[in-house]
Amino acid sequence: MNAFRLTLVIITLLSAVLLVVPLIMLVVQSLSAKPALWPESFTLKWYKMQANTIIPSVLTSLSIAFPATLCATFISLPLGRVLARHEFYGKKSIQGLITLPIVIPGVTLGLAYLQLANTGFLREVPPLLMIIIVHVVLIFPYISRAVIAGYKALDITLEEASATLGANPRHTFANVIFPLLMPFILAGGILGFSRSMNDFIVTIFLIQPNIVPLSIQVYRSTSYGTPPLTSALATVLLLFSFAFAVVAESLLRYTLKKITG
Amino acid sequence: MQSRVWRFGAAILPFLLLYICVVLIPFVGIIQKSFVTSRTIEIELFRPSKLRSSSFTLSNYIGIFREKYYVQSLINTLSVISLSTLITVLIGTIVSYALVWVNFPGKRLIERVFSFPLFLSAVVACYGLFICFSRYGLVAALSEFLLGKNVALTRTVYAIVVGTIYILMPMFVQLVKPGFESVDAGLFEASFSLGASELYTFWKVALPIAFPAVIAGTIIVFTYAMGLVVVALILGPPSARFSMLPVEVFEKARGLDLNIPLASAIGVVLAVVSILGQRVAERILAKVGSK
Repeated sequence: MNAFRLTLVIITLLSAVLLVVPLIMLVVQSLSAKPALWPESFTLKWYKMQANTIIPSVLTSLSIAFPATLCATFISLPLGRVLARHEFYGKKSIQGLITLPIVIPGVTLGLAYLQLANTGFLREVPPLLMIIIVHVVLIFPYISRAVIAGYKALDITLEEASATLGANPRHTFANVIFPLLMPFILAGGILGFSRSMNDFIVTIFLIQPNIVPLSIQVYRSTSYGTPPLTSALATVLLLFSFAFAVVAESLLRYTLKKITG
Repeated sequence: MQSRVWRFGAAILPFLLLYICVVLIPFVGIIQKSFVTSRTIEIELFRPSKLRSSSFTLSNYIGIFREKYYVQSLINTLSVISLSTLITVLIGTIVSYALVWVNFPGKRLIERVFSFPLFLSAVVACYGLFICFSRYGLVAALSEFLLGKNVALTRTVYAIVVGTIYILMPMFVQLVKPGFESVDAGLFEASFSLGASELYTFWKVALPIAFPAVIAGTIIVFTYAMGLVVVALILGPPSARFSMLPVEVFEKARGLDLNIPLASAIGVVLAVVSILGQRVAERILAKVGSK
């Protein structure tokens, strides 16, 4: 390895270490009895102490992310098929439209939804439902991108073969297309789910005292000024992120194996 | 034919309805809001009586570029994100190249470190940095060891810069890696066989080919950073001491100092910058793709 390569590798390794260290320190801090660089003794007391905040906020996060992901997937399926298979007038605009919720800054969207939720009959809509609908839009770009990629990877001749053999479209979809699309749907779903759980800036405009998702609970607890306590809440959210990343990775490997045989 | 059109419509309709109601109407709502002065929190698009009674004004926009406080806020925002973007681009380009063209032990693990933040909450990332920067954190311990004095970085502008880089770096690497992947391995061999060093090859062969991706990535992370609130909220000084535009939107919409039209105007400016940046970046990438 020459000097040039060595320099590149050292820069890369250093940046990777700098990305990981804060997360490790966060976990260590959450297990520490009192704020210190390295705890004298490890304890789970912050988790126990916060159990009655952690559990409801995790449940709130899940009860937003699950329906939002399902709904976005459901709307993505027919749209993805049309966008992957057909050329038509206005296709470019639709593709541009899809990505808008990621392109518009979260704080602008949050402000817009604050106003939406305070308009006319929408004031009567339960806040949880409002947050779910907003999250459908927030995660839609990620899920539809995966579904479109799935339809593009799918061999169109399979569909035609199924049709010539006399299967009706519904049967073809259920038994041929859907199973093949499944890895893509799951990959998009996991990313969308995690985006929903991690969202902070849009959701904070819409929360009510009794509906506080975990990501917002983490931020709120920073005002108590007890770092180990906030770290405990943040670690729970970090564990979710980690689980999603692991599942997404194994899914990718499974799909690659299937494609390459 | 008719049934095909109908099926087409049925496939797109749910999406269109969702986006019109939950993206376009709220967005047009705050654009309208940014041109009035009435401080109510509701969309007035469908209330003709209210629309007529409110007069059109540009004062919210003029305020951003005239009032001393907001001009300072704009300057703060631009300097923080320019510095963060610059450092991200310099290091991120090297990292992207190394991840694609240099083999080293543990590379697959390092690749995962750079792709993991896709699933990571920005709040969690910023709080991890907060722990490292605090009085009893890693940075303080290191500075005490090296400089002999305890440096706490929390609630400083430096912390915002580091936090912004932390968020932007993985994003930038994921955007630029495909650019370096598109370099043909044969070009490296040709360059080496003609006696060029790897540094020269990187500079004169690989970088020019990946350059559009670097530019597009730079534009995307820069405009993304313009809307970042979390970093300044958790790591930065209170906005009375160091104000940034996206944080102003947040505070003017929720705090005691409520001013929805002004918050809307800043929000619209941030959104317009982001949308333009995204479109320019897409153009650049599409041009390369069609060659």
